[in-house]
Amino acid sequence: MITQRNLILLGIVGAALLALPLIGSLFAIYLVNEILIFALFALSFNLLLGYGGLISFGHAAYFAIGAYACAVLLTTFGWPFFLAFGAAAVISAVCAAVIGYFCVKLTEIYFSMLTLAFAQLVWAVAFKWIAVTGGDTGFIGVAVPDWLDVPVRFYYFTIVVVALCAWIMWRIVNSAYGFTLVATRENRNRAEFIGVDVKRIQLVAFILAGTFAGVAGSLFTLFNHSVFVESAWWTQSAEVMIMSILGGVGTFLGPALGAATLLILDRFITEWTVYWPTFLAIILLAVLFFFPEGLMGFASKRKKKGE
Amino acid sequence: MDKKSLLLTGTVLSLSATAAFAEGDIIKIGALYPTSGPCQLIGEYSLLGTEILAEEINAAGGLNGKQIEVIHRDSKCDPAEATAMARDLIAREEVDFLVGGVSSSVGQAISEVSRQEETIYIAAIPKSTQMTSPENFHKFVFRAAANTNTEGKSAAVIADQLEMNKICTILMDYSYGHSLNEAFTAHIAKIRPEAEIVQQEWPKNGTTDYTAHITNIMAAGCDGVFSGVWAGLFPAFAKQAAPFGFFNQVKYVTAGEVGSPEVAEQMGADMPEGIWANSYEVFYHSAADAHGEFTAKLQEKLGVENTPSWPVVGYVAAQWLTEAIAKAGSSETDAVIAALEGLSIDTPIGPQTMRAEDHQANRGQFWGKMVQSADDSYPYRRMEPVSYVVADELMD
Repeated sequence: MITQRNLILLGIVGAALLALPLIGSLFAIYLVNEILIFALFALSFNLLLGYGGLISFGHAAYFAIGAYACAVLLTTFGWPFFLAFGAAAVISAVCAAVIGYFCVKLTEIYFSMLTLAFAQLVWAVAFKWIAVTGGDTGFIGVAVPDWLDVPVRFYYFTIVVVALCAWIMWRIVNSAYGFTLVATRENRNRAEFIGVDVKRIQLVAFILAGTFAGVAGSLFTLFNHSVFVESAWWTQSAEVMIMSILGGVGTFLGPALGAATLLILDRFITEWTVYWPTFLAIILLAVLFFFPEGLMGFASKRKKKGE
Repeated sequence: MDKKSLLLTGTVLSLSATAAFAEGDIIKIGALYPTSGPCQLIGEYSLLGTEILAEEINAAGGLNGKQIEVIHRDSKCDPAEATAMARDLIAREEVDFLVGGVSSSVGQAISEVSRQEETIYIAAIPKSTQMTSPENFHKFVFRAAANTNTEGKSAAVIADQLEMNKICTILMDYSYGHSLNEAFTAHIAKIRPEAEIVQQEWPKNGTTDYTAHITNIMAAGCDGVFSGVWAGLFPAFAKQAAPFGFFNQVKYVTAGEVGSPEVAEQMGADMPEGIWANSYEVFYHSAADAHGEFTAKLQEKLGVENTPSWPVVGYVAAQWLTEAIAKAGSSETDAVIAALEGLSIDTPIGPQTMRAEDHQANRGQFWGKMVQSADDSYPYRRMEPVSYVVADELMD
């Protein structure tokens, strides 16, 4: 909800992000840059989970497709940067459309299993198609243009792209289409009775989510100068799900908060213990039991109580 | 002196000690080894090797008058994680050098960061020839490990010695297996033209059932098998193959460090008698000189008699750096690169040279026939005799 308070908060976060390079820490720039990319990935996932009620176990596929498309078009084919970057998003959208066409024919667990199956297929193609993707040793040396190949510049580029995508997603979920999507989540039968073509609405959500995931994947490629098949593996799909649930699927920005929390925890917990997966599991358990609406849901609830 | 002032003095002393070695007086080495996940054991032991080297140098007064500090990050056997951690080491800890890596993809990922950040990286374990191939090679990456050419061709040398003429291969279906295959088949054709490859099996990476592959090989009528079922997978494979009499029917030559003492100990009587296997290190090969000293140190550190093979890998990887820094008289990147190119060092496993043109060390491996040890204190299979296969002619 856009309240004055939220706008002020958003303004503060935005200003902090823009001012971050002033503190001169390369480490902070790298960390926040990665957070922004995964925030976009998690926001795209939440179009499906939070707004559409669609549990996809294979969202990493579109992240990976975007990542590989961007790497191959830029490096192997030597396309101009913006053309390659745009085409990567289009390719993700097309793949999401084809896969989504089959997936939305099914519901609930069958939908989830099919998304997983397709994602593993994408992984297998990336793994086997060594001539194009480099197989399991990975694709390195991505031809990032010189003007962008400076950490601070790339950081601002990421902010612009992520902000633009987030704004578009925000407009989408607050449009008539967005409300219809929520209606199909709340009660599929009722939505059908009033004449909503549920499958089509879900397919559009699938394509949109896939497209923005592809943009996140492209950014990640440019950020790392490399792509690896692990980015299409199911654990990557699980990670984005954890980010969303941790942050809160019921709010627009919750998943972004989840992405930030998870990455920061990962970075600092691993430093003092090798048992980081244990800590992650404990944190997740705590969230699921005590704050089922995630960190963002918890925060907004407390705010309401206070008012 | 009362307790409080003692504490205060202690604090002041330790503070001044820290200050004495502050910025510029410490050489920071960033170590990236997996200390969780499936490669954990390899990572922990390799890291230990790197730490032992740093301790030795610091105890002897440091390097060019500077102390060495090893800062470790868990690379988790995942390339994206390794990328983030390598950057973390450079940007936050301001390390001067990177060492480590286990899998080839992690090696590639760290190599990419080292290229961007212009920081020297010594690949300790990754074997993929892609890392040093012209399209991926850059001046900041060096490899201390043997590459897949050395490993596959060494196996061909052994196969030739064993007079294998009808050969089957069983290699895992991912880049490591395919690279081994290329090296092995090319070299066996060269040194033993009468040998032919009669059957090739490609188990999926991550499979746990090798039965079909085992029976296919046994039906193919080959007299020898070249295998890439590496150490982590081999115990399961051997358990399935032994009941068929597999290891009695064929001569078995395997890459992937199956001959390392930790695998022999883990498998005990399940380690097939008479197979030929390799390892980066076997503690029993010699008690002389640097090797004996290193083994003794490791025995003391770990409190075990039979020391594992991986610490020497982490030790040697970091040794390239420290010897190059000593030779250059500086830890400036360009000076150290120049010193590394063509550098020869004496390691606990013998002399090694870093080739100037592609930054590949001439790292060979120990090969031997695994037979039951006659020594009561070591009731496992061990290589007898142990031979070091020299890499110089094999690594391309």
